[in-house]
Amino acid sequence: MESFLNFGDVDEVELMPLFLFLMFKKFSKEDIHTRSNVKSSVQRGLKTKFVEQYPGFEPIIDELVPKKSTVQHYKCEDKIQLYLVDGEVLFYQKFDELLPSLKLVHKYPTLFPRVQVDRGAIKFVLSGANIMCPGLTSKGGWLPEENIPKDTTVVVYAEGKEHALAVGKLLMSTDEIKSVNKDIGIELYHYLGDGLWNFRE
Amino acid sequence: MTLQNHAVVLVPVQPAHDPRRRFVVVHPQRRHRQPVGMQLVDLDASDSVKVDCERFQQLFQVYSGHGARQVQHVDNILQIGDLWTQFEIQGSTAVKKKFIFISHISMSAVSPVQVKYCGVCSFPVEFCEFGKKFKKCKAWLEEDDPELYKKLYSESAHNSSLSSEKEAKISESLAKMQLKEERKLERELQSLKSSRVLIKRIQRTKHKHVIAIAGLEVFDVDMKKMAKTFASKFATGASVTKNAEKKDEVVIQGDVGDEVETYILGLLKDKGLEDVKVEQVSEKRK
Repeated sequence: MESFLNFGDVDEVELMPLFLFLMFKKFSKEDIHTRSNVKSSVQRGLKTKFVEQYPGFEPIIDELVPKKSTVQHYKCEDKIQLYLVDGEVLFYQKFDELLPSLKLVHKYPTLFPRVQVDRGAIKFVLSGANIMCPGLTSKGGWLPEENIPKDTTVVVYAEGKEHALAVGKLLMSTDEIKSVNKDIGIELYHYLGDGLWNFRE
Repeated sequence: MTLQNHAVVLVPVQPAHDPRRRFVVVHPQRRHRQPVGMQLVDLDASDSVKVDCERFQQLFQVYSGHGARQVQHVDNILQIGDLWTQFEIQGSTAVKKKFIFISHISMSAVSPVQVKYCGVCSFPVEFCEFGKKFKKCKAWLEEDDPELYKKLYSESAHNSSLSSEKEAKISESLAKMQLKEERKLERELQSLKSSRVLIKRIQRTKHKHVIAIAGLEVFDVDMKKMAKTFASKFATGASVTKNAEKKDEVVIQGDVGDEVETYILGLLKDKGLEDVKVEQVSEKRK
């Protein structure tokens, strides 16, 4: 892919992700194609996978997804998949990685890596914009001291607010964000007020 | 299982391949288990096991993501918010502590947080100001939880890193958006009120009719459920079909026009849309 985009004497083309997709900006019931109940064996696999990704959930995963619960699997437009536990969306996935819904993040805020944007950015995040680096590095923003590698799923908080407002993926590591400090730092997956948030059966 | 109300003990461990001493934060009842997903953390070298609480506090802030006011230490006990009640730090003094592992277990001592969601815009209440129905949210919260309302919307509550100029800009654009949204809602309500429901009586054979209800889709009702209720209500068949204009209609078998009309009128009354016209027309078979 990269070599495809390199031309002549240009050694390195900085690839701006051109097709940033926004998972749930528009999402409604019509986008659900099939609904099925998940077998208990698959459910177990799902649980281990999630715990692998977020080890902090190990002691409470059985609380979160009790053995007796019904887990539903919705296949949606654009290969998005939702997992509902007792009628509430807990995880969704687009590719391989399981992502937490904001309701879940609100319940267990400490178990996810977090970043913070300043107050000026809240408005844009809530309308689904990808997060630019300056919003994270300015005075109101916050990044952890140690590095979080690229492609990690992080939870976005906001200055002066207690609860999370979005879930996204780091397009560069946090160290890079600090040093480069421009362009898109986090690609937004899921935010307050998007289609998934407003999704009700 | 939650670890609340338990002390978490720092257990010294020394892996064979590594001469450095480490600690693992483990729940007392879980001491036999190897912690999963450990994280290496550098604590400033100090000889006693009495952990540099100051530093520990910072670390926990980083890991838990909680602000300074929620992580405090008194003597050797770290109080970390109300999520993990206490971390008691113990250990044998002979151990030189250079590194400390903080396992994820220490952070899983979490019981779910109850977030108060706004009844109007469904956001956590603190985000209402960025929502589209801020005024309504505010009124709702004032009624629902006056104390929280006071806390959120008192003058002193605002502390922002932005200059007042920028702050003004934000609130201005928000106000603009909210005003726009209000107008939009008003317009929608108007168009809703001016819309009408059409109950068509269509002849199938000489004495048999079906009733088709059109124009329901604007009222945000589930057509399929509607058909189902009609079917059980009138003990007939009812279904949702697309009509000539490609809009959904509920089609009910049997001549039940009047009953349907009263039902729909009642339904609209419940929604506070009494002005909506409901009309009955009969259509001849071509």
